[in-house]
Amino acid sequence: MISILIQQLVGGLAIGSMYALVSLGIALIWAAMKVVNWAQGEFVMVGAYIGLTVYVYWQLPFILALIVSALIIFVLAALIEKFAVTPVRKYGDLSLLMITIGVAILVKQLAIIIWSPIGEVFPSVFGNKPIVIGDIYIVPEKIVIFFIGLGFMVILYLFLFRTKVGKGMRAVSQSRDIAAIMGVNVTTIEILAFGIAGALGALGGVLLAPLMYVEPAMGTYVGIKGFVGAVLGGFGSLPGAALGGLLLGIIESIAAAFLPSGFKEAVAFIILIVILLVKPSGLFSKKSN
Amino acid sequence: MIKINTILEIKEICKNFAGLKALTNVNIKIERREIRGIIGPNGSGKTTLFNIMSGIYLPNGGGIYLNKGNIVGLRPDVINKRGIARTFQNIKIFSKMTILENIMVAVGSKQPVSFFSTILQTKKANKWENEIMQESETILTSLKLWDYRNSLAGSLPYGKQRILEIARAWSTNPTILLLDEPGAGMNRQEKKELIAVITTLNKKGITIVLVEHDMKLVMELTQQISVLDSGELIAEGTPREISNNQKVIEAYLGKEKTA
Amino acid sequence: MNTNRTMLSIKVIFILFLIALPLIVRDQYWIHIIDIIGIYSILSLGLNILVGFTGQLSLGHAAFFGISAYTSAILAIRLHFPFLICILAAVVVSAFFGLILSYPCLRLKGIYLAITTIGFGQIMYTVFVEWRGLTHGPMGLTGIPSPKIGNIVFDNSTYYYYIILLCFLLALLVALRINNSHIGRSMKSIRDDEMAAETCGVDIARYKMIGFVISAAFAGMSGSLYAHYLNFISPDSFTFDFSTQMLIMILIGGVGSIPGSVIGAIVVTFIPEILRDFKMYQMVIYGAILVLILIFLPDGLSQIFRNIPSKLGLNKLLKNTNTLAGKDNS
Repeated sequence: MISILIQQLVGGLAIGSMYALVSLGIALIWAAMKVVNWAQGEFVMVGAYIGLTVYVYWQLPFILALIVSALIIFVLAALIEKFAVTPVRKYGDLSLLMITIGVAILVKQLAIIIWSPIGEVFPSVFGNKPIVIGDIYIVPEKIVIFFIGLGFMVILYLFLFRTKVGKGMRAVSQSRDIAAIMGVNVTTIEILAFGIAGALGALGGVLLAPLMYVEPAMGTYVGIKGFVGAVLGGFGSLPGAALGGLLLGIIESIAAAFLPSGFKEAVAFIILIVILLVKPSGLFSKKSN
Repeated sequence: MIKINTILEIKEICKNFAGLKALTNVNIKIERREIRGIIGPNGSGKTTLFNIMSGIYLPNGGGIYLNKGNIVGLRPDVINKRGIARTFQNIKIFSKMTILENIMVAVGSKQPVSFFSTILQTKKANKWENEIMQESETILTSLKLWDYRNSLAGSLPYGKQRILEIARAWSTNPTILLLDEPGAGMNRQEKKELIAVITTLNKKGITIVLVEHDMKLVMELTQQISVLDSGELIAEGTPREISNNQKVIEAYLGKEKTA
Repeated sequence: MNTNRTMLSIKVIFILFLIALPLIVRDQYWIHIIDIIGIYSILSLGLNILVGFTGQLSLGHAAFFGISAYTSAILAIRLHFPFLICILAAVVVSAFFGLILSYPCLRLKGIYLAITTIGFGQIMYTVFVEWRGLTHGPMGLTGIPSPKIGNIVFDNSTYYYYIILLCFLLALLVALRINNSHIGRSMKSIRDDEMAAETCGVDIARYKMIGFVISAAFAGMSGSLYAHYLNFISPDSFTFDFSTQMLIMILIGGVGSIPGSVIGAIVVTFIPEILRDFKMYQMVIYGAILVLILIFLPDGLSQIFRNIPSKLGLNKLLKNTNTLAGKDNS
């Protein structure tokens, strides 16, 4: 029983750290510009497909897949911010949400045209032959992915807290007006925020690929996970998002071991709703009612 | 001694926000039918006090007694039905609804008809709807807004939006009207109109509590002023007394020094 | 008043037109499309009451569509209840779930509200798939009987059209009455500024609940109509994607607009049909249209139609400034 738990925990941590990357992307955009980015999942999906193209079709090193994917999606996300999100800002929150949904649909359909509506299996990168420790079967791939994911979170942290641009972004998320007065170029920050969130999503996508089936539908699937993770941790809080994503991965993984597979999704949502009933602003947020 | 014509008593009200003391032991008695000014430097807690009085915030201590009953803990809409209406510092009209609809919402909320009566358009529902319409017409006409009734509230000029917000609050038939910086951003002409409106409402018997930064407005309209500084009541008196009050002057000047 | 009479005549002509529609459009295929549009319109109207009037986002509405479809289907298949009972039960059960969902949603806003509704949708979907004893799981329920009144079986598109029309007109009537009443105004005030509304005496909880219940009831009506029309349902129809589609309907047509609800349903149904030959590009064009409308026509397509009457000088005719009855607020 313990061995199953540990196995599931490892798996959960791996998937969870990927969810965390998605949640972070979502939280970043919300914190920086108060936009709910429904297209985040699609960034992950396209990222995964680009990874597939680079690593599998063109047989290039995995790290190149990560870099190329992140760069392309960075640009894509930035363009989306500039041409789809900003023009709609003035129409209110519902319009903003829907434009990201519209963009998500567009991106998904374009991916289907460019690649294929049928999914593909992404080969293992870090070895998926389980290492056996006593009763426990641990897949090295999952551990490596977990740590890479963690690594990216650390890089993000360093960016936000040690670089000038990162500090500018944090200033904007605290108060747009004051940041503007302090000389921060808010428009650039907004575009950057989207771009970085996109890159995070892409990286998450490439790393998720060996763990999941790569298909156009994965975008919506992962996107929702990202949102649940972000909300779980207190929407808008970056550390909350990371923790929320990790927690979600773990909960799902453990639930999968003990419940029929179909209930995995429902369990996460039930837990989420219960938490929201008790603390409507999420687990780790500081807001009191 | 409880004055017989005290309509609202703010008693020992305290409010903290994550360690920041917004209000400390505030005690104010509002007299029936008066126009009371509440002034103080920025951040002294005036709007927080209004928020507590209208039920938006819960105080950490103390009570608010309206006609002897404590309204702390009641929902804002219940407090409104008990007789307190308010306007907001940043205008909060229903901008995507027409002026008429803005008023009709407030008028109708006093005694809503059941859902099924509405859908079936029973005699009772229709009668109530007509009454709402008539009362709204009366209110808008008296404030010279009837001609604009089908315009979207958001399209009104700023000064008229503020008047609309006051009209809407008045439509709920309150005994007390809390006005949070109604004169903010208004020009001379608009302020004249504002004074006329407030005076008219007061003559109709409504007690008015006014938070304002425009001292001329305060001096002209109010009969008594309560002064807050850093969450504490530091002075109370007639406009004349307050303008000569050393503590008050220091409070305002003090803020200027540190600014 | 003259204006009143004219409005009445327009309404009568409109209804007569709708009644005569299948006789004008003889092609069974297009009548089928119109039937689907009708079902979606009811769904869309309901969602608009919740999202457009009350301002509460719901990204899980497919769940209500499914709950009612399954309720109606199961009552018909297992208990052999007549259609009328099935649809009534579907509406009641769906409304009840709307009430349940409203509780956690009362205190939530923005993304928290959205996620909760998504969660509700996901939980219900899981129930549809996993409770095989009741729903037959992924295989779905076949053999849902068509409505039978007397000796007439409503198993073709033309006959069924009239059932849908009746339900649509009923839904439309309720929506219009809500729109022009204190309930509608209170809902909209919540949408515009919840805090201000509350300080004006509006009981927020009550109207949010009404919003959820009514929109669920409308979905309840459509779900039953859907089940007995297609004679088959499966969980595939009640996914998150469909919830998104519903939102898209009201967005394209115009959030908070009653005619917009119908316009949105028309567009969402028609586009895939018109673009059938371009199967590949169908959805891309669809997504592009959505994005373009959001950027350039934020009030939806109904915006265009609102401007036409003024251009034709019909403004005076349609402006009912003094009367309440007959005020069809677009």
